[in-house]
Amino acid sequence: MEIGDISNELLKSAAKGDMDAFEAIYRASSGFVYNVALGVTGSREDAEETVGEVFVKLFESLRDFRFKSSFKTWMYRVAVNTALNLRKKAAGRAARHVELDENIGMAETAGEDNVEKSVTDNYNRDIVDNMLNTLSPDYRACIVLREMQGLSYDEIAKALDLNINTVRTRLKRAREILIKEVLVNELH
Amino acid sequence: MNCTDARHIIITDYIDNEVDAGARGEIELHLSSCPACRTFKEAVFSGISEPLRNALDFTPPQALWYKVRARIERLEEPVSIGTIISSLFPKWVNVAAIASIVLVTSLAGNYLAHNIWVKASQQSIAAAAEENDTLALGELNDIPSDQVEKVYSNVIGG
Repeated sequence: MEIGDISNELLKSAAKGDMDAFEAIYRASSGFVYNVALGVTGSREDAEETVGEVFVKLFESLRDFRFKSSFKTWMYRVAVNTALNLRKKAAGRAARHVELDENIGMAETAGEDNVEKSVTDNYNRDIVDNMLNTLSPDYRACIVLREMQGLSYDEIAKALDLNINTVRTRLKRAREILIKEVLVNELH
Repeated sequence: MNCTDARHIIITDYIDNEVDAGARGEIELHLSSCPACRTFKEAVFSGISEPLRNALDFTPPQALWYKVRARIERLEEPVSIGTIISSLFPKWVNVAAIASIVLVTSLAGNYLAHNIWVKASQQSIAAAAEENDTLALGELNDIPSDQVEKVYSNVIGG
């Protein structure tokens, strides 16, 4: 089950205190929250903290949740805002990078082929982290939601409480910065 | 369509599939006749979008669910006044605890000192009274023997 498959019935059961239902919601949506937070903050610890904060907020809000509004949009908004707040708090601290060598819950690897795949995945992830590190948190959030999570402009606008033209402008500027980086790296 | 307009659309709506069929046709017509914009489009696709879109998704650590559940279970526990105070004024809890200990110790000390002083006063009054009685009886020795009986009958009423 993915975040889009979470039904109103499941949400209502969780709102009544059914912990199994809440766990099912967690299993379906924590991956999205974790990866958005990882993309926005660039830190495993902050991503875990974001997941914790988001699901505690969700538990507290479920009883008052208006089921007419989209749960998915609510989740996008809370996940991104929580991650952005943590990122801004951490701005004064030394930049931390995702510790890719540690086991952070990637698909379990066994055998040499998988080890090689894991090394390649880590290399690709390093490239992505270096790219994202050149962007401000606001541009970074837009790029992560669009390129890595596949949200539409409309969904990004609702998640970040922006109008669509601002989303378009942020994506354009973020990509212009990234293109310059790519060209500079190709020249070296 | 000129190159500036084409690149503006390529880097936003075109790459994100947010462009309608008519505009897409115009862009592709421009790309077919403009090598510089074709290079630009390739750089955007292969240099930015592909690495980001192909980046591996991570799964949150299994233990994270147990941490989240523990936090939620703590939320459901009845909240004591001490917990409310410590959550509202976390920095002042230690100061308040130390001040309370100092205050209780001070009050207990005062109470003990007062009791000891009262007891000592009562003992000294009793001792003084006893000494007075002894002196009074001792003074009888100085009274001539023929007068003693008269003094006894005056003091004791016998």
